[in-house]
Amino acid sequence: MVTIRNKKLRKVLLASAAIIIAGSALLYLAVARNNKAPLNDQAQLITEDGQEVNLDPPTDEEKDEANKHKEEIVNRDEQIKNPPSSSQTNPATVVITEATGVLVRAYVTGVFEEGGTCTATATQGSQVKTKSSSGFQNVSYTQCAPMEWDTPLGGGPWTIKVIYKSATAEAFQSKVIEV
Amino acid sequence: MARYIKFYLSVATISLLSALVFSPPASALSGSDWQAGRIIDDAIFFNPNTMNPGDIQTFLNTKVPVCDTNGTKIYSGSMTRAEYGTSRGNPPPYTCLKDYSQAIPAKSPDAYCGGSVSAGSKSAAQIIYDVAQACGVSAKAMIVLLQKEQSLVTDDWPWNIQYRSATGYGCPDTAPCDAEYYGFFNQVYNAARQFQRYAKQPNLYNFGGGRTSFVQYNPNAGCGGTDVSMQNQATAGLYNYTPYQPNVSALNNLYGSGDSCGAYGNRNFWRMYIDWFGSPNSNIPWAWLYEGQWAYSNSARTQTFTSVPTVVPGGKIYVRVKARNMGTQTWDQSFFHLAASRPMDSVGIFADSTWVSNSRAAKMLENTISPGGIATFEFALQAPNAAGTYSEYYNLVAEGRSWLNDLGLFFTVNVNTAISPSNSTNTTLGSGGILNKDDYLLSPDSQTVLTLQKDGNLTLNSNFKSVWSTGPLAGASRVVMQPDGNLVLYSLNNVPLWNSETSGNPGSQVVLQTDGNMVIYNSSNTPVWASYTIHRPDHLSYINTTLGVGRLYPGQSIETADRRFRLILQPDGNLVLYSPTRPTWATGTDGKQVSFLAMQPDGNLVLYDKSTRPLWHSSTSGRGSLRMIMQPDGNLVLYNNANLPFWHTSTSGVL
Repeated sequence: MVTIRNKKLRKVLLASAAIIIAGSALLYLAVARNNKAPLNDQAQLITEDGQEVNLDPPTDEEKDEANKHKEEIVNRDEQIKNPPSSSQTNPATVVITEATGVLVRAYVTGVFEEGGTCTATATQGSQVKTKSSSGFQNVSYTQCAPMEWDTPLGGGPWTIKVIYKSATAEAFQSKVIEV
Repeated sequence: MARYIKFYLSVATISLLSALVFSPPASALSGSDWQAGRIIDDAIFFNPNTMNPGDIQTFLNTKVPVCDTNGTKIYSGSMTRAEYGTSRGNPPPYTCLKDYSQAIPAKSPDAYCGGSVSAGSKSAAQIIYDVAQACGVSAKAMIVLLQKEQSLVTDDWPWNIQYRSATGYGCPDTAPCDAEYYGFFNQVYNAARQFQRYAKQPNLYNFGGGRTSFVQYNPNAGCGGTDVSMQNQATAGLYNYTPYQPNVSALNNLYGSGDSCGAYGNRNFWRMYIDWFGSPNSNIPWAWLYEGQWAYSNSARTQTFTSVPTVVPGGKIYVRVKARNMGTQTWDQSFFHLAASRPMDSVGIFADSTWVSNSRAAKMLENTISPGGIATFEFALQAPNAAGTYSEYYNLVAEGRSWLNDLGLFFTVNVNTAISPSNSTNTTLGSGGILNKDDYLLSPDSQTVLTLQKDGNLTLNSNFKSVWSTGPLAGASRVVMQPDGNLVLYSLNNVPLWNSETSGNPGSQVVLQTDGNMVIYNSSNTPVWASYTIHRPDHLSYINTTLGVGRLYPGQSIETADRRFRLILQPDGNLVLYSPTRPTWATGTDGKQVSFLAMQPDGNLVLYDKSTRPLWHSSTSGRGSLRMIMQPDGNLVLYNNANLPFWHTSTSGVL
């Protein structure tokens, strides 16, 4: 055992040793925390695309969210089966997703049907251009097939309006674009 | 002094430890990680090989450690799940996804799901795997879709509606789901198929890879939205499926709700994918997906090979390949090639003068293709000179950057020289020879006819049926076997309408052979082109007893198997029926400019002259298609498909 005569030096050395030990302990904890060791000591699953798959059971957050979502699904299903007497008669809404000098793309929420007609008009002063297309079902809404202008629009501001009309619904949306 | 040091050290240690205990783990997901235009990459979403059925089952098992089959857990207060479920029309038992199975029908490949699904009773894991394989969509993506739409993966007491509308396909917000798509398998299959529809017809839908479009925050249009630039097709497809993006409030509470304008579908897809399966970004800069390959016999690429392309030595086939950009980098014509591979940079065995270089078959037709887009490559393959079957592999390369993933694309070509030359002169069109309209060549056994029809169609008929033709070419006037070796079909104004692409072979001639083949032989008797319409490779002599819808040319006949009775369209123009001893019936058209005898689809048997005027007919039009049979009793009869006779020569028993 080496004896260190200088009292001050001994204290400094002791302090340094303590800090190093504490620091290593903290470092170890930090590393251990960030290493997400699987719970329940399960085997890892690496699938054929080389990626690791999460085999933990659902977290409480995931379970809460899923339970709420299920309630919503069930309530919505019930509401659809028994619509309240004051339900809207015309729930359709047109959404324009793209409007340029070349074409217009749009869809209609609130209806899910084939056979409707989408008509886009472009107005600038006295100039009016028109193009129609058919609506068709897409998963949960009605998609308008793209409406491509017969000739591209000239420069300047244009008011674009898309009207959807079918046997059961009618709706429109407008926006102003700059070509 | 030491006392103070110990004290301060303890405080420091305790505070640091506390800080660590309460600090979040290093790589937590946050709303600021969300990129609206890049939810998931193409190479990940459209990868069908991400999980095998066993992996899927293992995963599903871990997400529902215990299934509450009988609903014994408490729903709320003192009410059990069984009681609550029953009160809302969903009594136990509850089947969890890991235990679910269903009898499914077979599905054939179609334009969107290129694989098939076999019928049978299958588990949910097997169904997810089979659909992923058939439709080319990741099983991981489908699993996340099921959770996002119906919370089906983690639910330990799922209700019927969650299976019935498992992926929300055909389910509008305010009306019942379309019953045609009810059921777990229908839902999973049609959802996967729909993502392929979006990818294959991107212009038909709102959103497509490489386009910028307006995306709402919520079904309520008053909540507004923003333009989103879709970085790839998979992301665009998710928006086509669910056309909403999360607003700031939705992103600030990743596992819960935001304000009344929040929408969570696409946010949840993204978050769930990352939590369960890791990064949705491929970060693979250069990758492709096979979209198809085609082989044609002509440079215009209108005549496809329907089986393995077969050519003469040194012959050419014209091919096309389509490839989808699955990486993160844009392909540019200036550096993007389809090249001979296995090994890379090898000299192509099919290299021809039109290749970019002897190892690079073609550059992309399009100027640029962004991620998600489809590129086209067109090039020619020149067959080697020795007979045999040859295959060559091709792969994409971004010059100076990287080769792409090797998908094993290859072309196979048969080189066939097993053609024996015929030595009868009246079956050939010699060098310099010309075939005018209505002229014809016959094979030695008269069974095969080459003729230039009135409508400009150069046709080869074998057994009275057209087996090869150029197609009707308006204005076609004559066929020339040119001295330079090229067989060319010219219009009246000497415009070449079709050619065999065999110039450079001086002294070649066209030969019709007994095996049904039409061959161009060069001056060394090596074949340089063939129609490959070999019907009788054994060179067996062929007796026709029946003429169905088709044509008989002068010199051709139909006869009984024992050759005793024979109907022949004679070169002198007369159509004569012979018994073993004498002619028993004839049309009496000798001396006329006869062109051909036609058994027409309308049922009429008509003898035409070179001006297409009928010289004689059986008056049986309107009977529908009939066939003419030379019967062993000596009678020539027209029968319909029900074997009823409608006309005959009345020569039964006449010898």
